[in-house]
Amino acid sequence: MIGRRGNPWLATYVIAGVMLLYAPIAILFLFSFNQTHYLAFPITGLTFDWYSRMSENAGLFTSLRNSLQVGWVASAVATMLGLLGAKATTRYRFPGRAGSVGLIMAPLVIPEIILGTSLLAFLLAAGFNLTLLTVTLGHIVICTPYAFAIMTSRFAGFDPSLEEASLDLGENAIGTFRRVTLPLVMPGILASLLLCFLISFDEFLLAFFLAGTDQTLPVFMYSQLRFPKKLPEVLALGTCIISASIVLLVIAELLRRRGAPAAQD
Amino acid sequence: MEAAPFILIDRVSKRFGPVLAVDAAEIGIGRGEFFSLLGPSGCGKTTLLRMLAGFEAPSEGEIWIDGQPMSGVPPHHRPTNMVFQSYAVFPHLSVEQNVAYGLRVERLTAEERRRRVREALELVHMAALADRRPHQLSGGQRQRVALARALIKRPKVLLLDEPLAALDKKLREEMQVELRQLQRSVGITFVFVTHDQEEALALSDRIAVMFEGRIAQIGSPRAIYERPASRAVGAFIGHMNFFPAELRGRENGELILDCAGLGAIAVPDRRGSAHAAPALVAIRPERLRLVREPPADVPAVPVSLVSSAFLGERSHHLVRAEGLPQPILVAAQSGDALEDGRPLWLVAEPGAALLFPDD
Repeated sequence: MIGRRGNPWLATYVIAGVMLLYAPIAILFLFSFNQTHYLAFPITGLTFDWYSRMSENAGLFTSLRNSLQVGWVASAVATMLGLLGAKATTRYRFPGRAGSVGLIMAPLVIPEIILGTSLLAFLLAAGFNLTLLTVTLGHIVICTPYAFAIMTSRFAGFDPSLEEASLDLGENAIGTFRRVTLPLVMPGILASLLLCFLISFDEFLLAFFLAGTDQTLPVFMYSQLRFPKKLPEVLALGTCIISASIVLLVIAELLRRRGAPAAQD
Repeated sequence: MEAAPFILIDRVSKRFGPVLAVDAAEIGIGRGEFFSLLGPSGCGKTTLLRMLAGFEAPSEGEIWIDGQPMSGVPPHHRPTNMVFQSYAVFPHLSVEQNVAYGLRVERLTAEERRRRVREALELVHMAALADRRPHQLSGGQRQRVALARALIKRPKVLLLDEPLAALDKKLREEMQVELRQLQRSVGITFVFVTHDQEEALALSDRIAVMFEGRIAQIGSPRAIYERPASRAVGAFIGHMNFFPAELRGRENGELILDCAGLGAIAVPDRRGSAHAAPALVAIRPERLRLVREPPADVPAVPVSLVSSAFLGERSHHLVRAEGLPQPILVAAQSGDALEDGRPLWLVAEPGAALLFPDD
């Protein structure tokens, strides 16, 4: 920043880009405090009404509880799978290693609508009733690549001779995992849990396809949009969720950074 | 090999896919010996060490330690402990917890455990830093932690994988002395891997020189330096001048060779008369002398000075002789400068020359 002046057009371009990304969110935030339920300027007056009405909505709380439940289980299972997969692909050389990595990462690039359709067809054919369990299974599929990627970078960043040293000092494989591997990848595990939780919490398409009558929060919000008068309540809820997401993401990033340099020692 | 050595590496080979990393290595190491595996990087020395530790399994052959065959014995059941090149000090544990790490499986009383940790820390002069975390330690201190952590297990064999490579020169030399003293005081067999020939010469009771997976020579540092088994060993250990030579005749059990740049040289006929016609004569730089006047009793050749390097207690002079394209390195005690343009004569000490087939 000091010394060379930047190109003024570059600064304008960056500001315009950031505006484009975040203006809609700012609008959401703004209209959640607006007195009327029309999304139109000028703002007629500020109110907390929508927030208090939102907090009296029973359907909202049921769906929030559903989302928390799905998110917790899906992130725990996906992180566990990611941890084991990352350990296998970074520590061992085996036939089909590159192929396994590709298969684990594939859900990231398969269009969700196709994933949703095929999961729905498969689960119905397999005799599942559509419940929160089926949503959880779907979320595990889409969260696992993220968990795997986080855990892989965590494993790649720590010296394999640490695990060898533990074996050399008399610990067996399980003791080594518990006393060396697990503490060293713990920041990655926490970051992965948070990220997977956020992905699941926010996911609409799979939840819409696989939920049956138990709505998750995004599906509930979508259903509320049919009633124009409910719109400001949805905006209020959206503001709450975005604020919570930002807090969680910042925590995840801090954890990831705090863990990274220690492993290189 | 005399009565069963403490460690026997019995025709051990290791293949990684098509690559033969270790080729039928055969080494016997005595109890309490400081034994070095020396060679350039990629010569298979680390692979051999990892097979001793149990991290790699030999493709062929067997390793015996103290009379026990080691195949199928996992690292955590072997009587060996290792000091890793990266030290592998656990970053999430304090110095004390690192050192005590291996004691958990030994089921000691708390009192016995504390005593062992204190002893180990004192052995490597780290008792004052017991509560530090690894990231608060210097490279040399981390290495001491790695040493204490391995020695506390009271292994029959301590394996060291280039433990000094990451230290700067001054610290490396201090740690060499300390390592040697430590080995004498604990009496444990050390197997030490290094690519640094000076380090191997300074520390070892015996050295195995390895090239491309093969053992080129096993012997004491003096034997390997003074009587290298091959041209490659001679060139790898220390400096060596090579002179193409032609066999001219035999006299009193000595071979007389006509050397490019040196004239006639007599070499003891150690291997009988098996030498093929093209041969190489090798002479260490410190066994050549530069003089101002041609001596009357020994042969000398006139040379011209190319350059001199002052190295403190000694100097390295590069000189050129007629008939030899590459310059000859002469090591001498630092004395008067030679760059005064006056004539110089090169004299080889009697018995200095070694003979190798020119392959």
